[in-house]
Amino acid sequence: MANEQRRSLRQRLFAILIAGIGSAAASVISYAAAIYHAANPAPLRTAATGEMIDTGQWHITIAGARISNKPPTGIKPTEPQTFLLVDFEADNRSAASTFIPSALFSFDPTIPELPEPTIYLVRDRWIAGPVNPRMPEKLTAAWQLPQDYAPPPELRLLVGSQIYKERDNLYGASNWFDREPVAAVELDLPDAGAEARR
Amino acid sequence: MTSEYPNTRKHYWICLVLLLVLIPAAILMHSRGAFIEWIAQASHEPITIERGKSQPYAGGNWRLVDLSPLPGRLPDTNVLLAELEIAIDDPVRIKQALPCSIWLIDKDGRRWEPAFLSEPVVRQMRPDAVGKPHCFNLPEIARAGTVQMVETFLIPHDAEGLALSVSMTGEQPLRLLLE
Amino acid sequence: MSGGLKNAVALCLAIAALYGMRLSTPLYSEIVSPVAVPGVQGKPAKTARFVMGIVKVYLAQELTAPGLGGTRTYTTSGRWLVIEAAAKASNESIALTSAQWRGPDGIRYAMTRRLSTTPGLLGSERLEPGIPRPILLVFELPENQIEGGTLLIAESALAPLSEQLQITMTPIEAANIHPSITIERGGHILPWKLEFQ
Repeated sequence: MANEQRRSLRQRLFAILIAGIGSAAASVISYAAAIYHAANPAPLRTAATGEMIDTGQWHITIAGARISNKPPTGIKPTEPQTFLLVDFEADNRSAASTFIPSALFSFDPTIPELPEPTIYLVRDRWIAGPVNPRMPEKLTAAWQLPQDYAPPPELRLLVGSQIYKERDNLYGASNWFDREPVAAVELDLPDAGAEARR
Repeated sequence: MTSEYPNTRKHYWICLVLLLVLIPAAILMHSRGAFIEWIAQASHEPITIERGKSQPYAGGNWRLVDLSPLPGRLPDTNVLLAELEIAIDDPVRIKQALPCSIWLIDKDGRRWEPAFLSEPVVRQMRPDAVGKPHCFNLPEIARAGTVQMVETFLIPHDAEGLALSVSMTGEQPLRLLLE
Repeated sequence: MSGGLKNAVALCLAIAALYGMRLSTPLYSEIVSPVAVPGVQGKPAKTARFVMGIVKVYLAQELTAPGLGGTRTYTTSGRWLVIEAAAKASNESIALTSAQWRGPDGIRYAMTRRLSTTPGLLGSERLEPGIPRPILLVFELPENQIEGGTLLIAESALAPLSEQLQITMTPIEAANIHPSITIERGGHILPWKLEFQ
């Protein structure tokens, strides 16, 4: 009787061990992968103006940047304001009409107290709606610069990326999510000093 | 097995039958009373009031003064002007029962919501009804005394058996049907 | 068959069954997607809450419409699809707010938002039961997504399990293709007037 008990105990321990190996291996591999990706991040590539950047959901081509005292609509605001305008072309590569995400552009030395940009359609000289898939549009992103900020002659623009999850972690719904910047563009700001002094 | 556990089959079938009772009970419990409330509301008949008579409801006496059809701008349509009179004796209760909802119902069960903008024909033919408050103005005008309310509806000219349905959220499932 | 082989076969069958169930689980968006009600252009299409019929379909390169501060001309890299339709609510006052074009590849195009104050656009008027009203729909589409497209109309794009009318569109007649269309304000019965160049 004692022999049988010991054998069945050993069998159970053996079964637990085999089952445990699988889940242990899964945990170790996922931790190791996360640590490896954190230690070796993908290098931020530098893109030139006029070069197409594939962000996942969009194909963005930055044309240039400028400082202006009126927004792309051409209507001067009632109080004097300075705008940072970045002209770009966007091609929607997803399967539905989407707005340009506000987290798409950021600056490398971050500009303090910078509000969210407003995206304008160059064709209409008005605020842009959703961009249709497979119809590239020329757009301008306009940031209203804080009053006491003097823009430098050169600015580094970071272009963010997006990934598509077929089943997200909350609802299991399909969606595009913003991820890390994928490219940096060096922008020369012409007349930065002249406009700031105006 | 049968020698160790008699009545196994009987217990098995009893448990299966109990499931038929327990699963609907679990669904009902999970809905936290919402299901029962919904059935109570759907099956509740409204209080029908004939033209000219008044009915106490939500702290006031409601009376339908008139339902007058005016010619509409679109072909084969009418603008229906509904005039209500409320004699409020408990303004606190009426304020607690807000918001109020008004619909026009016809004999086929179609429902019209009140129009947002006032039609010009109302200004021409019934100028006295222009400045009067609507159902959603009740928070501002609820004070003891008589209040006159006006609502306009855009209806096809062949709608028949029209009645006004009033429902105050705080007094649900009670609602009025003014004919 | 020996016990070990039977166990192995049972294990493989179980893995295959689980994998098949995982592959066939519908996506969340498919579970809560609107209920599709098919329709055909030319005949009125009915859902439980509204009835809609397509009257005319036009194609243009350029559109002129009243905008803020006078009329504006709108250009596009594709084509403008202008649809004149009529709809009527069945039982309750409703507002139709969602119109999409599903191209032959399955790509969905939302109705254009560039025309802001054009009279009679979908969503400008509430539909009352028993009163049919004309509705204007304007889409901006690439040329290759027009043939074989489907028009998707619903009260709301987000409400799960609401009904969505899916109208299969016939090819546009050559007489309805113009280089430019001007939308002008009309009267009360027909809120717009189209002129062709």
